[in-house]
Amino acid sequence: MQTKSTLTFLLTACWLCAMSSVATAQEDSRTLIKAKHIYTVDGKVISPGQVLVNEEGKISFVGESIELGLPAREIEVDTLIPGIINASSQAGLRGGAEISREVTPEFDTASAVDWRSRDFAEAVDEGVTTVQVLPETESVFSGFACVLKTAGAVEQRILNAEQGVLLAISSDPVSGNRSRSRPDSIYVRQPTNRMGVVWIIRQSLHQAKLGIESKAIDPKTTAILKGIVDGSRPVLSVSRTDYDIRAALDLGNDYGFLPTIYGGDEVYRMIDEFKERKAELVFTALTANSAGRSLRGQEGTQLRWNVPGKLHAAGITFCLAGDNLLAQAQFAVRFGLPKEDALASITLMPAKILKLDKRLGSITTGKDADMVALSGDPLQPSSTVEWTMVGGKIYGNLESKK
Amino acid sequence: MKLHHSRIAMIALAALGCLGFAQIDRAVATGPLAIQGATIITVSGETIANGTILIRDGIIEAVGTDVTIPGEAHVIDGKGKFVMPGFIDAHNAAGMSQANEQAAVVPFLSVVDSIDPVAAYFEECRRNGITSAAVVPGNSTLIGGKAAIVKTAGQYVNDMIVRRDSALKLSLRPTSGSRMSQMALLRKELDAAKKALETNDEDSKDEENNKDEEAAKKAESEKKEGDAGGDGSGEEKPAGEEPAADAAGTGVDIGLEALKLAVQGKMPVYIYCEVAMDVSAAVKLVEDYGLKPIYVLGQECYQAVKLLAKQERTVILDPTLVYWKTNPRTREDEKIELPTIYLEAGVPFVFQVSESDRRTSLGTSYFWYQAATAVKYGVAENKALAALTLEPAKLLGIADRVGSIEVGKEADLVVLTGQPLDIATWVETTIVGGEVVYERDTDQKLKRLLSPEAE
Amino acid sequence: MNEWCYREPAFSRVPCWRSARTVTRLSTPAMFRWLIVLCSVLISSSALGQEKSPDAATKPDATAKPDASAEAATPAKEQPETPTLALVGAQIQTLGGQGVIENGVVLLTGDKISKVGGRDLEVPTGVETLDVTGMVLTPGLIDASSRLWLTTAAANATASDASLNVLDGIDNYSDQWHEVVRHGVTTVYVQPGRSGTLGGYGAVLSTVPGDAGPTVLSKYAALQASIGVGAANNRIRAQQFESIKKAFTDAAAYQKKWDEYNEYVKKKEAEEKKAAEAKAKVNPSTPTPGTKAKEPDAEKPQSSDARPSSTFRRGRPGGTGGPATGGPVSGGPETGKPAPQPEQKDPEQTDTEKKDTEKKDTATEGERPEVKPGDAAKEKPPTKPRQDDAKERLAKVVNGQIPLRLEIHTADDAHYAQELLKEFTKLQVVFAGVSDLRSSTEGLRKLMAPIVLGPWLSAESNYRDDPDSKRVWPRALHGYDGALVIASAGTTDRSSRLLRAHVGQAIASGIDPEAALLAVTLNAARALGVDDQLGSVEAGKRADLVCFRGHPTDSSAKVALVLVAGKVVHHAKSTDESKPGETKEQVAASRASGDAAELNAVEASTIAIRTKNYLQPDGTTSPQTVVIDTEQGTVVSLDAIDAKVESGIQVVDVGSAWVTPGLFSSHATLGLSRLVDPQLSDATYIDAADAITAGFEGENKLVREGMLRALLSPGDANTLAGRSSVIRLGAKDQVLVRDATMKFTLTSSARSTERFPSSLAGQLQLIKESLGGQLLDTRLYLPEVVQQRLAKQRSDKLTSVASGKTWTLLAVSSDADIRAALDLVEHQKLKAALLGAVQLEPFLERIKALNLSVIARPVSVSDYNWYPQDLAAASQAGIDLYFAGETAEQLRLTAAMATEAGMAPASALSGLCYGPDELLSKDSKAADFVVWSASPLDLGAKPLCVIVDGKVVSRDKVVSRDLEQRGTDAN
Repeated sequence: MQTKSTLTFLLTACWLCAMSSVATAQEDSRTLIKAKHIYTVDGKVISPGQVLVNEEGKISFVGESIELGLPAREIEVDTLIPGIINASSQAGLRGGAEISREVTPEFDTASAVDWRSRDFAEAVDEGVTTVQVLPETESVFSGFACVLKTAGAVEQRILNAEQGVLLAISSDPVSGNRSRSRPDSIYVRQPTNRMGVVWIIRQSLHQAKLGIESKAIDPKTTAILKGIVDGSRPVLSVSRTDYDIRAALDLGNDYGFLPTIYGGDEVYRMIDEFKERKAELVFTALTANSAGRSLRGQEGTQLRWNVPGKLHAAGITFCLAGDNLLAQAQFAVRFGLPKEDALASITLMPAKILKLDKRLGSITTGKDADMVALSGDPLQPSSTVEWTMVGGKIYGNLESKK
Repeated sequence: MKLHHSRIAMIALAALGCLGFAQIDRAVATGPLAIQGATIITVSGETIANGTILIRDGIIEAVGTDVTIPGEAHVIDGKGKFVMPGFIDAHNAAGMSQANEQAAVVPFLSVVDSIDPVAAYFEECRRNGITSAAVVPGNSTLIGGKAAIVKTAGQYVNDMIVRRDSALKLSLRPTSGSRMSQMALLRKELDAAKKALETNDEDSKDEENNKDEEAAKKAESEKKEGDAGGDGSGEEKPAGEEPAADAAGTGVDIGLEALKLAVQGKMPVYIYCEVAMDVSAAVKLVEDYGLKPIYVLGQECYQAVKLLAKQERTVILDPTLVYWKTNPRTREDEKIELPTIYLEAGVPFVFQVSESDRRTSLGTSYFWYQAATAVKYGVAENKALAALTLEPAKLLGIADRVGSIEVGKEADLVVLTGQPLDIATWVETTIVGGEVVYERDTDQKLKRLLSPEAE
Repeated sequence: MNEWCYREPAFSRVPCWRSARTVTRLSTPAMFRWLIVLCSVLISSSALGQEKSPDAATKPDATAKPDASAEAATPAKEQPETPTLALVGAQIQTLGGQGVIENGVVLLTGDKISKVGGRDLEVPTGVETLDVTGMVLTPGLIDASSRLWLTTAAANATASDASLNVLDGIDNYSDQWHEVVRHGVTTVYVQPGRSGTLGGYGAVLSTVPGDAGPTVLSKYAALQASIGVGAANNRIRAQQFESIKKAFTDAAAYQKKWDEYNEYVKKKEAEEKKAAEAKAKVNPSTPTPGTKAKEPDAEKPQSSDARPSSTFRRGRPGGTGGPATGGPVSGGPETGKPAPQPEQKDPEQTDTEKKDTEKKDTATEGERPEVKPGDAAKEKPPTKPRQDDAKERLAKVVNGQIPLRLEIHTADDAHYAQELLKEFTKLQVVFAGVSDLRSSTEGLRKLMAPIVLGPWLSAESNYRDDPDSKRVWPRALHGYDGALVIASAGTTDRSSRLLRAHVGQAIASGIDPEAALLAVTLNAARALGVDDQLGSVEAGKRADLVCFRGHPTDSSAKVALVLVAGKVVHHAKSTDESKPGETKEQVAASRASGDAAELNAVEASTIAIRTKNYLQPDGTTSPQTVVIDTEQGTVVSLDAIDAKVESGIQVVDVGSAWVTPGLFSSHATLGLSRLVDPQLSDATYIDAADAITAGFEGENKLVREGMLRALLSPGDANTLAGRSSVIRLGAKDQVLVRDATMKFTLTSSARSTERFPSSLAGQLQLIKESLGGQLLDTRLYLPEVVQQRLAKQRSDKLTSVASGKTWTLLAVSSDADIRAALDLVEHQKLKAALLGAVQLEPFLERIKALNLSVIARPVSVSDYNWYPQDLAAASQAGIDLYFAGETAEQLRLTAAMATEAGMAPASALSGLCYGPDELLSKDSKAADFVVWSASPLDLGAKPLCVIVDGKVVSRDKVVSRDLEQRGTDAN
């Protein structure tokens, strides 16, 4: 019980302390992990197998076994999977939504992240090693999404501060409407319905396309909008209903970009069309025991259980996102998604969609040593996360919980 | 008056709703039923591989590997399947409408008057293998009324009832004012009940007390032979019109009945504790008035786990088994794992589920998931399975009838497609009282949920 | 045991449910639990209704004991003689018979004090010894009006039928006691909400819990009642009075019924006995039927009647201590006789018709003719009354066995209170509130009942009536010889941690320091009826002890050691730079204020003030002579204390009184919090100094309290909030430093849904852009020229900020704000101060690295101990720390708490009185001084006199009288 309690508290109590105290345990040393099963997710399951992590926190060997030249501390685990990636998170996001303007693509979400937030402790506890933090969606152009590691020294945690510009083609920006509340207000909030939302996007992108400079819009904004229309800036669109998704894709057609869809609750209504358009989907509808901090819409969309299964069958590039990703993957399996694809949909697929699969997403030599040790089959609800490794550092306890 | 209306409406609904599984009934209405070649998790005893269960007249007639199946029996092929006792929901308010009464003291109310046999809840129960459920008044009334244990299948309430007035419901969560004033009121009521009893014993001259005595007897006898004529509750309604009178604690009304039985320890009492301090208050009440408690615990009650351990009773846990919190005083984040805490303290527990319609709770709205979570945090699997079946049965005092697969027990069974706690396992068939009340292949709603084609 | 001790949050990793086991091990010792059982028997508990009578029967010896002090004594005798712990070397303020013992020794046995004496009292070998040399040792402090362990709902629960029991509202699992015990408060009294007419029973709790929740020292310590609380007019008062009276009358009647019944039973037994004896003469071996059966019935209520309780000896304590163990201080109606009056009956009472109409109170029965035995035989027997615990307990209140905690405020309330006491003469009253009596307290004085005064901190003041009540109290109660009790009467469950601050305020407003200490120890214990266990350092009492580094009533003096029931529960790290322990004499001296009075009568154009304590900018003090030109209002020179002064200069020697520049608020809006631009987020054109005028509302009060300078800033509604200036208060030329700083707001208060920015990100963007030179369009409809001038101004200011010339205030609160501010400073290379951070601990390294100053927000009542600890940590890490606040109290309280938590007093003083160097105008020669009776860090110190521009502008009226009194005392 004592070890247990210390575990709980190293992991959960005072966050920084947990990082330092565990981290110091193995400063820049090599680590050899011996696992009964290694789900590398890049095609093979090695059981039993070994993974060697080098001083730089990279994976330097994956395989049956390795002859160690230099000494390395050895850890034994039951099951090892790649670090989980949550492509749609609000972790640590503080300071509220910038709803005073509709067009704020230049907003730097990373600057509003509270690195000490408990959200990251919870993420690591669930085996999540990388999150993409989306800005709040009360504005049509909400700002930059940023990709962060969930643990480590703050300066090294930002993988990409300007991952892409988030559009909210959904009811969200409308709900934040303030235009009627203060007629004298000098900033009147525009869209009061979907048409308004779409119109604002068309208008701003149109201006950017024609290169119209106006005093009203500040040059940074214009620059980013230009980036969107010339395709140099990836676009994310939060859209849940089928018609919102369609609107997003149509806008993409008109202005020469292909948005990644976030949400996609009702994509099952248009699976074939979606496939034709070759869009990618970050599916957030399948939230299990959500702590409630993942993006929610007011559309009152209907949840269908086997959407992931159908997406996979249709060969669409998608990943699961939101809270409790392991549980989500488990339920995806229950509802019809093949096991290996379920595992990929929370590791390699999000990495692909975030264009980070060179670095993350699988247990492959040369990639970051982001891994999760479990007490058993990762897709069974009775398996626990023993510890989580981020950049070669272990957070959690080394002895098994059971 | 209002109650009457809802009653009528309810019956009407029932009439409509029963068409739903009418034809299933007919399919196996008569003759014995057998499940053949399944892995039988009896819970009470050993697990039987490739075993057979024979059911006659709603009772388990035989269990084992060498059971001869009569020709006329309707046989379910259990090859590769797992059979378990039906799950038991020890505490829920979902089976009824309007679970909470506004007045604080309504011990005379009975959920039986509000149970809706066609409520979505019961359909969900059958879909998820729950065969018995205790329908209990909500957590927002101080003395909320009488609970009832029902089977989850039936066309009319009376068909479903396992035990009427199975327990009294107290909730220590303050709805108005403070816990302090609530306790004062609660004690006042219980004292009134006790006084009434004492005076009964002392002098039988006082007629009002006689009435009480008879009433007490009547209720007691009612309680004994479970689902005998439901008119008792019907009569109680008028008493309901003036709760003020009861609050005054004058033993005139029959409203005191339930309380009297409670203080005599003849009727169990659900005590809902929202926070840890409620637990100690509850324990005090139990000691002072000799109640027979069933503790229903909120998340924070784990702080009182040592005290609970002393009580040596099975408790009902909050649906949220794992959560995080931050202590503002110490500025520490804490992960609270209820199963771990209660396991280490040696407090036996059973589960609750959160309402299944809440989109945010795909996991915690299933009993099997709760059990799996418990296993995840160190509970032995067989213990976890018992916590879905035999434990709640014992807790509710119906273990003599249900909760395990034994000869002579009622045939409430669930046939699973695989290992009970496996993520990919589904309920294949649910059997209540020897009748098949759910079959997966005929579950249209499930089909819709799983096959998201455009509509 | 170590886990169990209080530890600084940074180290404590043990959550309640895990630490519980260790707590078990140290649960209250058996013998003490016996005491609890005893008092729960003494006061027949209704909670345990059915098992009460057997209880009473099984413990006849207990119920027989006449005096509560005897109970405390007996267990003490049973103890083994070998002490378990010794505290050596402290100056012991016993507050009991032994007075003050220098360099004394206290021996503890188990949870009790076994011996108290001087150095000569030898410590048996092998006894664990704690060296507390140089510290001041007192009994644990008692908060006679607390909310510890109460949920907010419980703390506000009210009733008018005495139905509540505070123990039902206790949250046993609350961990707030850590906050409280760490400040030396070891006992609290809690009760139902203050506005209930007749709410219910309060309890006395130890601030260290046992196995399952708080340790109850007295279960039914008092009955909460109030007259005129809330907006009460006289009609309502009358109603409240009547309802209380009604309740008491019923209780009395109930009691009488029982008495009559018992009386009857007694007689009957007597007769049967006689008869039996008569029979026995005939044939000796006949049992007496019936008698057995009756006995228990007869016994129970009678015992409940004869049962004494510690409250017996509350009596009417004198104002100034005296040995606690020596029985009643001055009689009171019941002098602990086992047989109370209600026993004697008279004929007409026993007949039933009269009984119901009986409205007289039991107390009046005494005068009636004695009943003749035998009469009863003829009367028809009274029926056995129904047992009613609530009524029974209420009867105890009427009989004065349980005191009545009566909150009153106005003189009218007091009038009704007196009426009540006329009606029920045996009532034991403890007054509370009394916020609005003005000087009409004759009534109270006559009653001489204990009186609980609080809260004294205006931060806590929960009285609608008179925010300044705490100033009125000392004068109003001048010559009041009931026992004075000081309580925090706080608004949060952890408010008791501020008890010492309240005491400080009490002293500052004229209460004598010794009386003040008594008011939170022995007098409090008396008022709560637990003075047999607590309140002084005397053999046989519970070992609740506190050691201070400095004077106990000085809230900046560190609490070094706290023992509860003989166990160490708080032990401050000895390696801290807190003050060396002062002996009582020094303290007294430091409080003596020389001839400060003379400063009033200065004619000379030049005066020289001689002081032993002149505060230097570095926060140290030195003897000095300050020569002031009262005409010019400037400082002529600063010489050594013994420097010769040429003739014509009037010399005033203020002795050891402190001479400091006035308090410096490093951030204040002084009522200008509305000074914002409602439309535009950029308010850089606003200069706070333009908005303030000399003699603004409240200025005099601030000056009187010793606050002479402030960094005046605009409000928090604009991200670019505007410019702050240093101003002088009460001075001719107000502005000391114009445009001293620029203020940026990163808190949510500057986020508006109506305009940009509405988010932290937006705020950062705006600031960066503005510093980068692209200004927000002001959209003020002004002439083009003005527009341009404004624009110029703004860009100038902003560029000077960007270039790091101008000091920048970054107003923050949440962690995200702070992090954003730090990033901003890092990237923009600003010279800045962090203002108003909620917590600092996680950011210390970066703040230090970026060389930021910290301006601490005032400590609020809802704060936890970690806030002052953060401040101390910051200061110890070498970060410059200053104090923001709108009032002198806020500034001094924050500084004092930080010092208590380990901040170097010098740093605190420097920050408190001199402020940031950046803001000091070196060339200012203005002679602005405050003469304090002691260090301004001690909330007990008061400004003896305030000098602005060389002239005395204010002096505390109380001072002169105090001085005179001191004078007379000396002679």
